[in-house]
Amino acid sequence: MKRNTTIGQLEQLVLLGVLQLADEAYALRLRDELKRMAGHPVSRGALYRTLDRLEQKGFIEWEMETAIPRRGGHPRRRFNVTTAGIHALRASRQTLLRMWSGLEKTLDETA
Amino acid sequence: MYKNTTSNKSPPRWATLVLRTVLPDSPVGRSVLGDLHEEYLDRADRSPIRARLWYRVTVIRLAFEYWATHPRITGKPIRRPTRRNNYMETLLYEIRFATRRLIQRPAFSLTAIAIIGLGIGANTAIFSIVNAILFRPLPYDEPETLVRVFTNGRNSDEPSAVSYQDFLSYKERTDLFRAAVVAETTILSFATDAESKAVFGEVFSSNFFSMMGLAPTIGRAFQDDEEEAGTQPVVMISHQVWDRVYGQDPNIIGRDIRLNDRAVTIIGVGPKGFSGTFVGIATDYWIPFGTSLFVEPNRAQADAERGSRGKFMYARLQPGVTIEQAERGLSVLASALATEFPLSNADRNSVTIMPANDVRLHPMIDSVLYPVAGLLMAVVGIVLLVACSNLANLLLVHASSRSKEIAIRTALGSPRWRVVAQLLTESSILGVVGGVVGLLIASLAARAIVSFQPPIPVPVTIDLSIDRSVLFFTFGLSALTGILFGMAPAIRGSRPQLIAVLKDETQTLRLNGRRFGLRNILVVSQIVMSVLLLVGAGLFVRSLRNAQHVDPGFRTEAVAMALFDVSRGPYTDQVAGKAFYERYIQRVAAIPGVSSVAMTEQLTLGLGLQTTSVHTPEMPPSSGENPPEIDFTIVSEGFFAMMDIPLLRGRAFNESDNAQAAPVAIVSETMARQFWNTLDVNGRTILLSTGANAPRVEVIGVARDIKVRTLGEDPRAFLFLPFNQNYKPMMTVLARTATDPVPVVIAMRNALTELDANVPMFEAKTITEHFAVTLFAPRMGAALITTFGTVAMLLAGIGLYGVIAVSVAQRTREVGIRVALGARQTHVVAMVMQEGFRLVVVGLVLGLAVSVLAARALSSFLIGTQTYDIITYLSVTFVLAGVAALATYIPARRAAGVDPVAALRSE
Repeated sequence: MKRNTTIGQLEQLVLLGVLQLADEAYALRLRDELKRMAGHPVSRGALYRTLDRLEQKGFIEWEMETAIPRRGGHPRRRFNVTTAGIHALRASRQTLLRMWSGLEKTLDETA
Repeated sequence: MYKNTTSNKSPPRWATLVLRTVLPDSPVGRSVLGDLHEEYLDRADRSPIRARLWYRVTVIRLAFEYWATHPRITGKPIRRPTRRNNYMETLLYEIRFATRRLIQRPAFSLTAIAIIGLGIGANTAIFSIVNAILFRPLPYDEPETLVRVFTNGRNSDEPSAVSYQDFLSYKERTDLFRAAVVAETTILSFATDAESKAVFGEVFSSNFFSMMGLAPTIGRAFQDDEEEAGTQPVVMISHQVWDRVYGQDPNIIGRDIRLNDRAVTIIGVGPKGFSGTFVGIATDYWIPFGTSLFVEPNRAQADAERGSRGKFMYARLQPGVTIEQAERGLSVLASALATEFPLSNADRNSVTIMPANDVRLHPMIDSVLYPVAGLLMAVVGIVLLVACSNLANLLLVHASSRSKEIAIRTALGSPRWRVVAQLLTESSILGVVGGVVGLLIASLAARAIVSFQPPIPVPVTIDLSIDRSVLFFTFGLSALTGILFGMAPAIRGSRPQLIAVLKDETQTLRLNGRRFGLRNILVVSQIVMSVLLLVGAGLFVRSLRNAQHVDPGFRTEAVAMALFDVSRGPYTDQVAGKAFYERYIQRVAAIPGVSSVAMTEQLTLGLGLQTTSVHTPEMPPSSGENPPEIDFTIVSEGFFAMMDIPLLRGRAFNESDNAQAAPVAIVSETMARQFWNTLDVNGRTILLSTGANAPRVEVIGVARDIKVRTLGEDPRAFLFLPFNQNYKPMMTVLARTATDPVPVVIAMRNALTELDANVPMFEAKTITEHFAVTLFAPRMGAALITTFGTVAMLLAGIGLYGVIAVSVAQRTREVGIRVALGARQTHVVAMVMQEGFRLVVVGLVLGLAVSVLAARALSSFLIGTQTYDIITYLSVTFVLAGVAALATYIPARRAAGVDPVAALRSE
């Protein structure tokens, strides 16, 4: 079966969020970031599921950080966007830009 | 406080456990746990309570999502089990699959869960109260070998408490018991630096704790010699008091506290969870009889009197002795005692022995409680039936909305039993989740119900902790609900209708293929059951109204009352006690707004009750017959005038009726008729058997009847004795007020503290509050049944709405054609409502008929209300018709708004 390389809206937001947060890309921070930047809350389940799917597609990877007391002795995952993830984002952006071209006037909110 | 600060540092434990079992033990799973932990702590910094709530909710949601829909992270994908897999795996597969489907239809699932939760919640709430009072095993060691011993009254079906002297004879003159104890509740004055307050205590035999198998938490229990007077006064305190008052201080042992103004040493703390022998009343201070004689000197006389029966006896039988043998053996002794002590024991020649587990409060009270419990369980049972048939309807609609999916599955070769199994799994899951919700609703509701403190000075504490039987009850009920009421819809829904469904011919696929289908039957039965409950509620409300308007025969307003016992303070003898009462009455009379003051030992229609056996020289006690027991009270002069009780003959008590004068009494109208068949009874003599020396008393007056025990009773014989000839240390002081009695109540309380802070006020209240006691049961009954009746009616309303709404949706095309052909809106509304009202009329008629029959069972609970009370039946009819009108009007309006073009195009 051909590997699915397209990304959905939420996946795209999550990938961008991970990039924005850089060294701070933990699940909790990511959720706050998405809420702040994208303006709508993402359910915990949906976020984990999306991260999981992105990992399956090879767009993100994570490394485990050592446990700290603030987390009840549990470890923390820090996410990174892989090269494939960057490619996918780039492709998605290109697609969107192509689709946007010429519509600036129609869709401009100030208009 | 202590508990909260530690728990804030980590999230709720059980929730974490749930999460751990659902999440895989992999780095990913652990990191999710960590995320939640961290966020919990962030939130806990702001609001610990909200954080805990948030954590629980989140865990439940996550657990469901992962377990049911997210195979990857759990590492346990939903995989259809192969033939080789065992049943367990098939079952798990079904459950996960069903859970996923339910999550996909949140509106349906939540409605179903709410309906079940409501039904089961009502049942569990009532059951947990009934269980706490009537069924929970006693907190003693080997409760099955423990028995209770009662001295029988005139008839063997009137078991009563025992006297201390009888208890000693029972214990020492037979060898039936391995061990025996008595217990008696008492009110003690507990002095702190600032004030003294009344606390509940119990006097125990010194071997009580060892016989019951209760080990003290710290310190020691009583020793054998502490039964006797003159020993070092000691007290054990309950674990609750140790915790609440002394902060679990281990150095409490050996410390002195003041009980009834006398120093007593704390020797031990009772076991956790033991709060005395009385269900519903927590006692916190326990003393042995020896200490009781020291702190309650008046008790010595009562303990010495064989006729003073106020103690409850517990015993363990000798090995090999059966209850019947013991009862026979002890009755022989009781007959012997009756001959030996005719004055106190003549009418007490047998005993009743019962397994301790079969007695809750007292055999006589229990026999009232069981029918009440039965009635309440029946009421909530009906609520559950309404909820369940509502659920069945919902499932039917749900199944029909999935007919296409089911048809396809059948077409692809899924056997019908498999489809049924899937639908049943779904309804069972709904049942169980609804059960959990019900448990939550129940714990809140039960607390709310119990918080309606009866207006008595006793703190009623009912331990509502959820024990095994409550859990068993709830989940048994939930599983039954899910399966029983899921069965019909599952079978109906899985019926193969392949061609029709796939061709989208929904219109030929009426849910109600027959004219009066299953759904209609369900709605009608809901209406019938709601009518039944509403009629019950109506009767109780009417009964309450009647009770409020019964004339008790004396003043019921503008009176303040204060109850205390001077012997709890330093006034132990009669002279000092009388003098203290006189001083107090003077003070009360000086309170602004008080117009007159009088005393009574206890005002009738309260909880207290005392009787004396009465006979007359004209009717001497014959050997076979026992003299009648008459309720009586002791009153001061001025009582009759103040309470507006007219004297029909003779005079009221006055100053000349003192200790030096001949003993006198005033009888009630009914008593005069009962004994002498006339009201002209002045100068007649009666013989009373209170205490040892049956005093001869002369009748000087006849008072109009008053209500004695209950408002609903028939006129009852009653006897008044003068305070000056019958001193009692514990009296109720009554003050008639010209204005609002509430400030006078407060002033009376203060007056006692000012006069002597060592005399604790037991109770100060208005006479209106006093009446609340008699009205408590009718009020509670009316409130509970009305609540449940309303819930049932609303559920039935929703059910009716659902049926009509679905029917309207199915008839869109028909309605469209009608409108296209010129039917007016009002016609369409009328047509739809007519359909609904056909069901309502059938339900109402059946319901009213059933109610007329069933209401007869209520007659013993009602005061002055006939079970065929027309007003009740009419109001129920109107209320229900109103709800039904609303429930059918909404879908009818929608039908009338159908756009004919759209309707005709849709198919």
